[in-house]
Amino acid sequence: MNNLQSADKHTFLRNAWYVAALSSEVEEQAYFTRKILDESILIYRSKSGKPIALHDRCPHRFAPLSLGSRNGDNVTCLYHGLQFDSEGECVKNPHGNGKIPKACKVQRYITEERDGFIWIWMGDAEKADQDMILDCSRLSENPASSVGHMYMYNQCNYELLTDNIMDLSHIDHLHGPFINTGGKLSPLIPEITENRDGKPLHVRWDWEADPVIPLIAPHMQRPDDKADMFLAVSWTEPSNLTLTLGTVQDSDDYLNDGIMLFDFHIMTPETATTTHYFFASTRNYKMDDAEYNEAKMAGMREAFTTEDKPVIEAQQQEMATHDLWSLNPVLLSCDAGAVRARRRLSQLIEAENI
Amino acid sequence: MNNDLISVRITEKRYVAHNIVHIVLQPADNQSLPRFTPGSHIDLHINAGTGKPLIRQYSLLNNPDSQQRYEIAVLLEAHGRGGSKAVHQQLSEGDLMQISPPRNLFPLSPDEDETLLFAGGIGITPILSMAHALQQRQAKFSLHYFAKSIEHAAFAHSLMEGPFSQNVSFCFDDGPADSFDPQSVLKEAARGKHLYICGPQGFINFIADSARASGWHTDNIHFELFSQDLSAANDDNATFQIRIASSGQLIDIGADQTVLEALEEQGFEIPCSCEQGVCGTCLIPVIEGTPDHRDMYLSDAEKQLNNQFTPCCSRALSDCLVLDL
Repeated sequence: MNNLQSADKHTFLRNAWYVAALSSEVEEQAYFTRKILDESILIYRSKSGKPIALHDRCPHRFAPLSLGSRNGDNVTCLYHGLQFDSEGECVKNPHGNGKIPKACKVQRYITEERDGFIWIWMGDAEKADQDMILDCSRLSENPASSVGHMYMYNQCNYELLTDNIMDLSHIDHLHGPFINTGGKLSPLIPEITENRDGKPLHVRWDWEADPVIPLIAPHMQRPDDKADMFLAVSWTEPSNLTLTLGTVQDSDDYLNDGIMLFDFHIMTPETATTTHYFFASTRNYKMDDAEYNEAKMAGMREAFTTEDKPVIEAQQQEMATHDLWSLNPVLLSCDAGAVRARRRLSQLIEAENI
Repeated sequence: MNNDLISVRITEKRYVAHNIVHIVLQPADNQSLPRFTPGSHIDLHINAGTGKPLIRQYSLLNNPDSQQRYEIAVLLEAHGRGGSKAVHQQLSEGDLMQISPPRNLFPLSPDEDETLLFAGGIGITPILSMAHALQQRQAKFSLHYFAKSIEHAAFAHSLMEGPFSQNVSFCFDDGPADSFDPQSVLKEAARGKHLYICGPQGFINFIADSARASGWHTDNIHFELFSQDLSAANDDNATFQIRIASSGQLIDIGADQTVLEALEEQGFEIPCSCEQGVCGTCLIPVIEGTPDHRDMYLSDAEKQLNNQFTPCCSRALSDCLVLDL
């Protein structure tokens, strides 16, 4: 009897918000394409700047619409000249008597641009609720010199990347001295809490740092002294996470007296074994220092791409296309949060497919 | 996470019974308080001046319809972990503090023909909020309030004079010996009748057992243990028994052994993996009794159902757990 079950690994949660792109990736005029949940998506900005997302596939012979041209807010297929408006409705058929067949339309997806991300709703349009989008408002509220966004492509399943954030004990084993807590995390059983409806799910570790990790220490009043630290992760389905790191000396008030980092880790599946990883970060110290901001973002990219990414991609290689549970992993105390998130997601996917 | 906390100000603090203080919380600044449903509780973050804030859960007792205020009542516990002492001694009117948004693990069902509310001591708090809500929806209900004496019963006077005084009955330890006869109150079990109990463990057991004996279905009996002090429970492993439903076999669980170990000693082969409440492999259905859930696998809602538990680490709040084995 194994109570851990995943939905079919090729099944994704449809009624959910995914990040399709960083705002900065989609230019004013040019087409932008990205595969999301195994579907090719064409994204472009309307004349008013609003992101439009259409299935990047002409319903006639399935040529990608992105190979064609723009006519204002309409798109024209390169192959036979069918033209579609920004709602995906066919508005021109140059063939025969010009009659437009009823079925001649392109799937259009609801989008919402906020805080440097373009969100996409991949499910039933009537169920799209903008209030369910992960709150990233801190990224807009803070000065630009304290905010950064980045995109990373990964050859692994998105849930392995969720696991990596839900289980931060790996920091002490995988990562270098800059963010290593010196073995403080692994012995801790993280505290898990959930909201009434089970979302989001919070995991939190608290410990006394002595000394403070080098990433943070120089910004503390007494860099060589000990401090209270915490790491907290909130998970919202399908794979949208916030990570907060707090450090404080002689106070309980992390936000006002301490140093805090606010990170956003948002994973969007491309396929079952590849993932678009969107990362953003801001902080409550050195907020006007753009140079520091750039160096910090570069450091974070470096840490992820040289430390996390290689091992997670190798993990996927080793697992091939097998589902995690089918391989009977041995679980440890550090897995508690990740298991809860995986369970919750598979229950939601299951409910959607009944 | 800190982002989710709400800043409130204590606008009233006064004693309403022996060792029970009533506290009114209103939004600091121009924030607004989320609406709550009867049975909800909040986490109170208490700065006791000793480093990390103490976090304690208290049920909201006021009418869920009263906007922009949360009310709690706190009993001073002489042998508690310090939360109630800090509330009593260190908090004053005007203080600002942080609370979590309300959560409800003890919800009132929306469609009942008749509701019976039972409160033991400070367990009156969620029950009061439920009574307000039932009164509002003009539902049929009765409230049975048990306490040591009228001096120990918070809000007794307002209950005697309030809008639903007709629905309330009291039972004081220093009152007439036969003032409560569970059989007469609970005798007519029915599908549409629901029972809500809040108070100490012994009180819950007494009422719930009486109800079951009178033919009440388990699904219609709802309870919330007052001051469920899990961290204290963790330090102190009580002994209890399990009964195997298929054979009737009784197995004693010692303080220093897990249910899983005891079952294995008796020849049961229970699949398990992590042995610490993470993977859920060892889950066993529970037919009767209340588990003391110590795992991290089950969600809050699943734990609340008390119909399964992880024998590798979870224990029992009741004297006996009947397992579907």
